Amino acid sequence: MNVKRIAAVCLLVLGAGTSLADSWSPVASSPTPRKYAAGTSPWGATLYVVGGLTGTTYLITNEVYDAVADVWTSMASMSVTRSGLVVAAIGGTIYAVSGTRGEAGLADNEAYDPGCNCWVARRAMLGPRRFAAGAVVGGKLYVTGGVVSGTILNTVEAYDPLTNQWTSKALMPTPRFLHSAVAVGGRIYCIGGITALIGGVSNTNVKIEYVGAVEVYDPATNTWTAMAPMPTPRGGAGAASPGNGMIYVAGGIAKGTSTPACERFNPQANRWDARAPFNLPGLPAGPGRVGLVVAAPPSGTVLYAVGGESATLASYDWGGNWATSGTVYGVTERYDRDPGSMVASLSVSPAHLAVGLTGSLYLDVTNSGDATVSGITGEAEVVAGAGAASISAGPFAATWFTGSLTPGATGRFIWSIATSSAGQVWFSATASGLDAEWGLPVTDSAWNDRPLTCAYPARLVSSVTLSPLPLVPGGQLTVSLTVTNEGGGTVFSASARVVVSPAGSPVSVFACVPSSQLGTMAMLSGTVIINPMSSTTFTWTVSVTGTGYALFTCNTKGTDPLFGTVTTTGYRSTMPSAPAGPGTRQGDTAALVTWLPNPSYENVSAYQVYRSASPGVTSSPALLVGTTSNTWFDDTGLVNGTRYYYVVTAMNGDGTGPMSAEVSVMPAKIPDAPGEVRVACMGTNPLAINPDRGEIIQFLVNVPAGTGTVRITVYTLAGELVREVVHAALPPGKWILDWDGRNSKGRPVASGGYLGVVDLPDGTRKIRKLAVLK
Amino acid sequence: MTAATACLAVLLAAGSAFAADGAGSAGGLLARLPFGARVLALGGAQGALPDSPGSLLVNPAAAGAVGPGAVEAGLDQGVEDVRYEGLAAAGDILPWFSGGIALQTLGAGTIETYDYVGTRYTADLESDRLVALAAAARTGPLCAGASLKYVSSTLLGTYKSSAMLGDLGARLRLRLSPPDWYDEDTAQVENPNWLVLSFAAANVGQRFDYGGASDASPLVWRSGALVEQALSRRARLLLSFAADVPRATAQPEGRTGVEVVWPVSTVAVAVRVGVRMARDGGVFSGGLGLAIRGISVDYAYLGKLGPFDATHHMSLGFNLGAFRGSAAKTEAGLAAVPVQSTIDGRKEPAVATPRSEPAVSTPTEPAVATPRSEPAVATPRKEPAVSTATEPAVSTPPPAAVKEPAADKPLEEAPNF
Repeated sequence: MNVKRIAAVCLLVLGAGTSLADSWSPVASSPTPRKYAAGTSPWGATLYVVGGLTGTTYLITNEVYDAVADVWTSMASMSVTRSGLVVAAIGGTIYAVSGTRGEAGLADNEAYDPGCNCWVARRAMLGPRRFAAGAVVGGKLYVTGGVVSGTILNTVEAYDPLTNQWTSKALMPTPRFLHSAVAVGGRIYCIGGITALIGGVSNTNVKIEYVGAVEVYDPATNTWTAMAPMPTPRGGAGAASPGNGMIYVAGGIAKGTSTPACERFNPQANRWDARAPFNLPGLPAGPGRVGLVVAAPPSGTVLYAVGGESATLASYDWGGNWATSGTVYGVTERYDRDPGSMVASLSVSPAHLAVGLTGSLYLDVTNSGDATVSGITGEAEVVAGAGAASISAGPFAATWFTGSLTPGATGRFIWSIATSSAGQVWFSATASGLDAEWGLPVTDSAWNDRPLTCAYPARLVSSVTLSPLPLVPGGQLTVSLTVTNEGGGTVFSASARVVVSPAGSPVSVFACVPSSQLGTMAMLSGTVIINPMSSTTFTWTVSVTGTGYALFTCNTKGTDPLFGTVTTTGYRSTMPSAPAGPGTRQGDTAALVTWLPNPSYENVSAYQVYRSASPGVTSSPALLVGTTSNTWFDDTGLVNGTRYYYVVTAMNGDGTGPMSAEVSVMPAKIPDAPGEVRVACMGTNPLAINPDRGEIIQFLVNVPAGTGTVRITVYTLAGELVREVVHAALPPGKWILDWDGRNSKGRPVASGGYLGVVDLPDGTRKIRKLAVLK
Repeated sequence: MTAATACLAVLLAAGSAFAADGAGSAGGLLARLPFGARVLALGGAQGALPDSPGSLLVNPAAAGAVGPGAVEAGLDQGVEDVRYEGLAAAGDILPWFSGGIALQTLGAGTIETYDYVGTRYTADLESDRLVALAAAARTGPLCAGASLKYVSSTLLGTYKSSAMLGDLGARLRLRLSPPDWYDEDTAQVENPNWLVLSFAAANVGQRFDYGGASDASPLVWRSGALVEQALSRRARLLLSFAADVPRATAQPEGRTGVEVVWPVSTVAVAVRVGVRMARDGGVFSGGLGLAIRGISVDYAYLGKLGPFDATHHMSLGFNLGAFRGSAAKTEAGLAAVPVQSTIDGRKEPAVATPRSEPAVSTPTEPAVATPRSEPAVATPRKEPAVSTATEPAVSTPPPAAVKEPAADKPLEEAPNF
């Protein structure tokens, strides 16, 4: 390890040392221990805690905490005793909504005016609920989920204090209660909670399903979107955002026991990470608290966790009664976020360096802290490793897309590099910035922990030529395989083999060149070496014994000492094979003939389409109706009701290949008026089909323009659904759509009458009668 | 309702045992169609329905639940321009034995196709006929029946097929206890509540063959349950449930209907709603009925079925038992009192008289006094010849009791549905 590497390691250690840990510390306890209260800290350094439950007593009293003086004082009591409520501030008013005082749920709504220290009743919610969660966006309070009686809700109501009205909003995808709702960036994030009761027919056997699901509600569009779930599924947690765009979820109950876990969600990165767990002063970590209040003053750097219960047992019954048992606290803790910090990582592209190659050096930097890091710069250097110095890199002017990183965000420095000779190399890079909130320098370094080898694997490319062409019976043909190494490594022990197909081809291999590598159908060599950017040619001499076509497949294999076996395969045929997969589609006085493309090594230059009005089409020039380089042919000017037969051949410089399988089609009269639908029976009876004989009913549809789809559905005369035949977005025009007389299970339907319902893109519907006669 | 649940479970298990061929794979469509506006308004929940001769096409045991005699004619509009009509009659032949006959036709209008050069072809799509003969025997609360159906079908006006099909069914009627009112003076039960369970295997028999490959008969396993609840001394509520499992799909189709009847003077008015749940969705239905002097007119509206428009259905019926009761009442010129139970058309508790009319509460016929265990069956005060079908001990009252009932025992019946 040279000096520069040591310096890079030291820099990394120093960078890590600048990071300060987040932490929880006790402040003055609330005078009244309470759980399942609600709180908010809308202005200044003041925290309001409202309602709740202590022991078995539902609270009507409320308290306010002055974070500057570290003092709790009482505030006016509500008019309704309750816990499990939602509290939020809009403007200068605090609203207390929903909750319970032992019954199924409350719809009450009260407003607190700090100026007069008084509560005023406001319009009640549309429906009662408890253990809901709410947040304020755009001057409106959105209350989500909750539970009423034994029903877990996914309903959402919004309260507008200007009109004093509640309105229903889009349903939350996951019904839940005891969840958290936090507003960030004009959207509401609903997190965790309890979503279902599983199993058990008695109250004691009910299993509670805690979820970590995160769903975000956008009031602007009244829509919900799912996001990454919280790692610790739980309910009864507290959550708040201290103004840095991050959401912190603390406490709650998971798997039946309260937890001290604190997790942070980055909505921009859609990512969770663990933060310092809170703890009761004087107690070891572990018990945690459920039903606590977590709120963040708008100062933007701290959170407060108030009260809650250190519970070891949670129960829920079908009647909707939620209970935890343990010790209820009034303890209050303050959470201080950690400053910004960075984690850097280094990568090189391409991963395998090659001589003469231009690549890139990347330094990825992630802000793993809680504060924005600004003024970030990056430096990189190259250090020669073992062997000759190999990298000519620089000047190391980095490309940096931005100069700052918000918490959780990632940025990338990019440097261009170029290799000049083989060998090994080390890189190191450092990123530095300044924590915008704390004023601390932030830095981190990275280096490639293993030397990069400047090399490149061998890569073989084949090229096969045949000469002379076309084949002449009794003559000879030379097959030349040229193999080029387009990679950076040398290929040793190269060998090649040629295989002639199909069976019965009119050629046979009797010699190959060089003579030391003679073989019948194969040539092996232990001596051929193919250097980078050079070629080797293998040749075979072939005797032509008859007419027809042959395909030569040439396989080459060698060894790159650094990267292992390298192979390549080349093809060449004397004439194309028969086009495969021919098919037809009816039209109105027209037919579309389609087929699959021939393999590229056949070098097909064009396809020829032959047509006849009787079966047994030949490739007679008189029957040729078209030549195309496409894999379809649109044959027009046909007579409706006449069956036409088609074959296709492929041609290249060596000649024309054999014919494809024969296919047939009968053009049909399709209505000229858009939206018109007719039915035709493709069989012996013009009024009915027999599916046992493969006959089909065809819907002759002139599809009109429209925004919908074409859907054809078959029903019995009693209106029972038999099968959806077609459901597709078809462009306007004339179409023929088939029903094979089979139901949704693929079985032929019974003889009788049926109804075909045709829905068209313009919203119109046509119903046609159908008959099946077996 | 445990019995009903068990019945449904057996039905579903039987259905799942089929190798389902899918919708449309069975012939004889007409043999599966419901019959009559009353039934269709109740969502087709026909399995246990009383007073409906058309029910014998669903469960032949229903022929034993019609009463002295009833006729029902129905004109039904199917989807698109499919039409089907029916005529059914059923009634008691012996105190323990009933019979019935039903005729049904289906016409599916005209099919129009084109060949590939645009030539148009038309024909009558499908025309079907069905004749059914049913017989039912009763013993105690149980009634069992069998029917034989002859179904013929003509496709495209030319191709014909026919098949003989058979149905077997049973019907169990249980009185729910305790009854709503028990008149100590007359020892009669008034407005009892009933539970009826039914089960049938329908359309067992020959395959349909138009000259080529044949198609299976439209075998259907059917079950039904019905609860009749007296809402007051003048009104009653009928809840009907049915579950059918066609062999073709092995998928249960649930049907539920509610009927409320208010007798008003000599007229009875009924309001009905129902729903049919099938694989391809549900259909809501509703309807009205009006009955006077044994003659009933019913209308049913079926909501949209899939892509098809709503349909309308009419029925005309005549109930001999109700006609006799109305005639007597008219002659007596007394205020109407509702039929107390018409659960199977036998009207045995209908003679129960409100306490406010002591002239009717004349326990002067000890021979027909009702045992407390089955008072509803054993008090044939107005229709003794009919209402004692399940009680042989009182099944042969003097003819005079039928001929002249109004002189001292005025009958207070409202028409039936």
